[in-house]
Amino acid sequence: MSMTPLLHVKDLHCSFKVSSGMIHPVRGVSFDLHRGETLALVGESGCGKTTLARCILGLQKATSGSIQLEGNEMAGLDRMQLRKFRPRVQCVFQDPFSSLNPRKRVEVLLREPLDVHHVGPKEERLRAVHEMMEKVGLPSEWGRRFPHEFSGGQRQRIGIARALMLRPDLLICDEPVSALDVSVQAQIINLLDELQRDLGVSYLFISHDLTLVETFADRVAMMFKGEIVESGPAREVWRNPQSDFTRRMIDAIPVPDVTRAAPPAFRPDAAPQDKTMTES
Amino acid sequence: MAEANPQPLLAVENLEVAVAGHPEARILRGVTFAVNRGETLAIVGESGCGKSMTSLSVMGLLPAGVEKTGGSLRLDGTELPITDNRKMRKIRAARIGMVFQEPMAALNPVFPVGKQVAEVIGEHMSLSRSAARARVLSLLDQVGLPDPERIAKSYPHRLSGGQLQRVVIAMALACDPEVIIADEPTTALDVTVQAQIMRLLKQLQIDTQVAIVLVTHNLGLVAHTADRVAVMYGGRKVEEAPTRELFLNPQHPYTRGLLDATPHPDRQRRGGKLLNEIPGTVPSITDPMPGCRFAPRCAFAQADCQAAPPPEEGPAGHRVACYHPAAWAAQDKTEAPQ
Repeated sequence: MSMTPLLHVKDLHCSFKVSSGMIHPVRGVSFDLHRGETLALVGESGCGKTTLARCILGLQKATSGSIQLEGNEMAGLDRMQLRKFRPRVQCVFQDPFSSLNPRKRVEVLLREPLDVHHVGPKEERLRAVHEMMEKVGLPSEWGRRFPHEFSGGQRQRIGIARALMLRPDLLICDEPVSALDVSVQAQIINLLDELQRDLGVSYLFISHDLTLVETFADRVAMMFKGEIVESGPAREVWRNPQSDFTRRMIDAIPVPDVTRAAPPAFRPDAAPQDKTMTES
Repeated sequence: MAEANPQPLLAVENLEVAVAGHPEARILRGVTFAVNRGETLAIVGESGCGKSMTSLSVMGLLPAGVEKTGGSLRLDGTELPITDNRKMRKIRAARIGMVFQEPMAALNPVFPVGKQVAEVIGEHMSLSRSAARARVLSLLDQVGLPDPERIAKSYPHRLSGGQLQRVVIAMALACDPEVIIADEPTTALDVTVQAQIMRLLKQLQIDTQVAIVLVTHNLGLVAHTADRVAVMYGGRKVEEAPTRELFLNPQHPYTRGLLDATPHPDRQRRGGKLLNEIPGTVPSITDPMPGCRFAPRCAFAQADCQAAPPPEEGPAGHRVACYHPAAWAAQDKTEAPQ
């Protein structure tokens, strides 16, 4: 791996005002992500993982700290300055239904990023669209269709194709498969895996599913209350969790294996837990 | 267990549901299952397989434009009057409780949650106001909510997802039902909260012998909470077996496909792919294909699979609707090195 990481995040803080006062969803997060690598960010709802992703995408201003893309500082830049970074960092969203404009044909949706960033001659853009459709497993003649004509899994393929149109170095995937059925989830995970080997793109993969991450990610960072409480190779974290939070989470995950004992948190006969453990 | 008890508590037989006025749009194509007291049956399948329609049928809550076209639904031997809303109101909550997927959507945002639990009690039990109030507090305590007094006065938006789901469970339990239908009760929740909710349901079952029908797509959840599993695909039940048997010895290619597609820690990568996918997508309910509805996606389909739907066969404990059950066994044998 090269010396300079693709993405270097250092002591990132983000806080903002809401009606009930100040909240501080990201509290001093640091990590590196290298080229062609998948880093999973795992945590429960409200732990700050999506806010962190929004900071990296430049959709949310960080309060302090540093975000560097191949050594270039992105934090604190204004809209115009961020523009040149945007093609390099793209995002796949959780809900493939609400993230596509229902009134546009798929080939228009996929062309848009190229039009916005003036990539390549106009007459070649459509060809690039069709190539990308084939790459993500959609027949290119479906380009004339509208989003509602596709199933959830197919729409997520469109979302991935659209995010990859600008050939980004970094793809932020925010729960890309949690709205999908398991058999379709497997199709999309395999697709992301193939695309990474093909294109060398890095993934920041946001998830609450540690079992999926154990299969898919190279490294995992466990996030709890705005901080990364543990990180390491995905398999290592699963087998040998170091933090209380990770251990508690693993104890609660039902593994689809009947030869194992049920996780302790599932058993009424196990020692009673604090009933307000994760609730406030 | 099913054999020991001559009359199951809840028995669904050959249930058929279709779009009203479009009998060809068959949502359920003959679904049969039964649940006994103190037992948990999991109904598993992917979106569009009909699992939610099955649970809504039992509650008599089929959406407008969808109707039951055949089969029977019996509670303790008596046919459920699912088309008679007035009679069904006496059964819902009183004898069959329901826990919905999204607790936020299941509760009314403009009333305190205690009042909503009390409403259920008022509908079915003749209790004085103060007795009903005491019952609400004891229910909230029973489902593990701290400070029931405060929670009862809270509006839904003041509570977390896990707390709301506990309130919904309290409502389902309010009148000591014989059956609880839990439709994806933990899908919207974090894993630690999911574990607490499932543990709570299990404890309640031990205490009250309530029968639970757990509708879910989460096989991990099924492995650790269900006694028996019914796998649905394309509006049909394709396999049913005791949980351990189903996981260790699946017979239907779809069951096996689901098990293989589920991420599983410590499993080695097979070939080049990270996860074993099931190619293709579920068929549309209007698709008139005459044979097995899984055949187009099935690696083991043969000519007979396309001709007619496979009947359910096998011993009482382990039923499977497939012409070539466990067809991979022969293949694995020839592929194995020794």
